[in-house]
Amino acid sequence: MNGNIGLALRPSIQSVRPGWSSSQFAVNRMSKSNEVIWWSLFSAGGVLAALFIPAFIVVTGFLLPAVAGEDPSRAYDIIRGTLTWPVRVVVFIVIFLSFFHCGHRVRHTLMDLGLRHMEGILMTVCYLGASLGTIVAAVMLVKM
Amino acid sequence: MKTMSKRYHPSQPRNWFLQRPAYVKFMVRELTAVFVGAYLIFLLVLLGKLAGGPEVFASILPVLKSPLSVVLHLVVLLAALFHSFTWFNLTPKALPFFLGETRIADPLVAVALGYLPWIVISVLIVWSVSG
Amino acid sequence: MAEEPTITLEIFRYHPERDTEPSTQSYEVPFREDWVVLDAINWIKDYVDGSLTYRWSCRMGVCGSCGMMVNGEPKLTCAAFLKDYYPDPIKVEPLANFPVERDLVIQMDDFMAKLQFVKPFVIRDDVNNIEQGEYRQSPAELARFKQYSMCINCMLCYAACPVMGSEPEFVGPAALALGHRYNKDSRDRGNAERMEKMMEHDAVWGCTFVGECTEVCPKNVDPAGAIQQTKAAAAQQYFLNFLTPKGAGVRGGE
Repeated sequence: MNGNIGLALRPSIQSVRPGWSSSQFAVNRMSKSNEVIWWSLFSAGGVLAALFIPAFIVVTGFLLPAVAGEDPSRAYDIIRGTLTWPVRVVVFIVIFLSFFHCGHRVRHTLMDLGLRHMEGILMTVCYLGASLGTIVAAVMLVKM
Repeated sequence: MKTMSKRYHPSQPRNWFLQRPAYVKFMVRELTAVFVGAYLIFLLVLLGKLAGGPEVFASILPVLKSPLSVVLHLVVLLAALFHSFTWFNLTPKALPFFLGETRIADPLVAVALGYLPWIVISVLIVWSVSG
Repeated sequence: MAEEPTITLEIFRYHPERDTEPSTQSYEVPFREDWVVLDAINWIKDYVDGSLTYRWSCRMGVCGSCGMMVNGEPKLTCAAFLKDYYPDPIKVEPLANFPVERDLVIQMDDFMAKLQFVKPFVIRDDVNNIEQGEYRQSPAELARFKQYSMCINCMLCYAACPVMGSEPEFVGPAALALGHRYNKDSRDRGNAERMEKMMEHDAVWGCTFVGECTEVCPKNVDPAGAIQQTKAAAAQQYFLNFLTPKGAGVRGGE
């Protein structure tokens, strides 16, 4: 950690700061905190995964097989019929953000389990993996 | 004679996450991501089959109907549910709401921002597929 | 006369001038209904072993000096009652995740530096002079940050945090909660400046929301909540700055 103890101590009366514009603060922030992007994706993905994934599992694991048991072609029609373009957009967003949620969590868990020194590699693998999953999802949903 | 005092530096055990129940629960919570991720990959495969048309999709139906699929779905469902519950219960800590001086109670926020939308969305999804 | 009941304390000992490894020493102390672990330790030092070294002060849970691991849990020893453990022996060790100076005394220089890292003071360019009077703050404005101002710097949260164990550079719960306390103070205009520090890699982003810091905090500061709120605020500021070049996301105080 950059232990700038001396620099952190300031007199309580502030002199007027040199004229930094808000955008300069923004640039400083952006270069230091790519982490905020990953966390935001993780956070949004966590919400969507929590809201949507259980129902998805019920559909693919229990409803669809039940419907298919009676009439296989009907299963295709139902699922295909549900996947209108607006629905596909929603499904894509859920899958995209959920992938980044999982990637971020896996990265941090592996770091917590002793691989902190491999953070760079872990970030590359996890976020690249999530990106690949996202691209495949987009391709599949468009091809339908 | 001046001697430098030698501090003792304890190190975190490799199995730190097993040392306390709270740590175990945390690790289980984080590991739900592995199961959800695996399910997402399965979903991609399913979407791929769907994109191939009715005959291609029909080829995966026996897999979906198999006992193995049901069991795996159950396991993933448990993981996903654990994620949902822990996530909604933690959300109010990150999003405090105030009415004047009073902070709105965490459970209320969890229900309003989590459990209620969750029920609505889940019912919608299941209903739309049940046809 | 009936013999007074006793309880055993197993205490971590470390003498830097002669030890390479710590050891454990057992003491049998009187068991009294109203005694806390700190009372037992003080009794040991007064009557049995004057060399036992530890920190303590107020013995009533406001100074934050007497934090130690009691049966593996970070506790204020002035708030841990013997009767809650009796008749089993009680293991007393120095706070986890800190270097140990001697016996139960940990080195806290890093912690002090981390407190200063978050710029824990009201930052504003326009300081009122005497004639302008005091800064007014409503009860509602106070409520926004009061919880996070209750920290007594006892460091139990650092002992409970597994990230501290694997990443000593992590700024930590108490320091980040303190930064949040100033970010939420309506008198403060230093949000942008403080966030620059709090958004560094080892600041808020080191936290994985285990939540044990909040569980062990004797003052209900909820540092875990403070850190997540800071992450959310950082995300909000980032995207607002990104979308609006005029920096709509940068603001001071509330």
